[in-house]
Amino acid sequence: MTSLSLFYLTIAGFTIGTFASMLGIGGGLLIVPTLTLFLHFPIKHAIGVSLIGVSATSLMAASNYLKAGLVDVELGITLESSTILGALVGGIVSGYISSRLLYLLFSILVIYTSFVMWRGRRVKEVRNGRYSNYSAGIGLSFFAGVASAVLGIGGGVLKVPIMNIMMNVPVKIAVATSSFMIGMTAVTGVMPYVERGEADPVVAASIVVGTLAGAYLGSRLMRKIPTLMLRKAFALLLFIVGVRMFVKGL
Amino acid sequence: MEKELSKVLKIILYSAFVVILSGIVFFSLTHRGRLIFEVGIGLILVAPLAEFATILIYGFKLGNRKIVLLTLWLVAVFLFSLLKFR
Repeated sequence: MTSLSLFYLTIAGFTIGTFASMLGIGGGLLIVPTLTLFLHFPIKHAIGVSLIGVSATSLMAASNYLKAGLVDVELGITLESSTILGALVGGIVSGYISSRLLYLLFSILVIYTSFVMWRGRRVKEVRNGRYSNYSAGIGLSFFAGVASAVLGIGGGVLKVPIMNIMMNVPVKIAVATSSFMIGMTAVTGVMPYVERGEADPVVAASIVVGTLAGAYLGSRLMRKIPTLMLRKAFALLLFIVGVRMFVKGL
Repeated sequence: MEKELSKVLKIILYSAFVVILSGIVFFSLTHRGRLIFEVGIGLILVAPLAEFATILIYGFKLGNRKIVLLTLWLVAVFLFSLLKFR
């Protein structure tokens, strides 16, 4: 690792953090393709690094949401009780999954997210009241944990619909509570990667510093730039990235 | 509880940010200093423990048995992962 590659990684992290923050998505969807397609990292190493990057950005977001009083801590730790187990299982299982299959799974997720981003997130209007379907929410959260650890994502793309659509949680609370949970999930899921030597601390550190600084800039820029056009353009870019990852996995 | 949790997370993240940033400067000058990066990343990896501790303290204070039991379960799984795969 040279000083120059450290610089490139920090710049990559900064760019990812800026766009992820402006688009309201987790960094994982961008970190893994950037590291694999542009910087030629093996996908398992990219996933390990991504999980550390995602945990840093989501912990930062969670601290802001907690301060604003948007996180339902009790709901968060209830769902996390199964998500954390899923993350542990996912982290272990990922060691046995071939890189080609990981490319294919990740590409499906990226293409799905690009469609969601193009169309706009479907939100169920919920008035504050009693949440429902706890058992289904806890059960599905397990799979969100597995997906998070296997693919190196935060899993907000799964957790928010589970809470909002299935459990009748208002979307603002769902987004904030999901951010609160992601830090715990990602850190638990990354441990098996650390043991297998697939989460290089130097690479992860450069990405973390970049994404944290970028997220700060992105949250400021968000108010000045029309996000709808940016969202559509980014959906197209994600679609192309998804197709490239799919081809790489074939 | 939420405000304290927010403060705890901010302190940990800012410390990790400063440690990693100094690691980058040190590495650029000397091409050494992997340990500094490991300390920075280590801070992020143990952040959930600080969250659990804060939630546990408030769970006990509020006498909320559900929060206490769920948090203890999270601590158990997290520590298993941390100690088994470190």
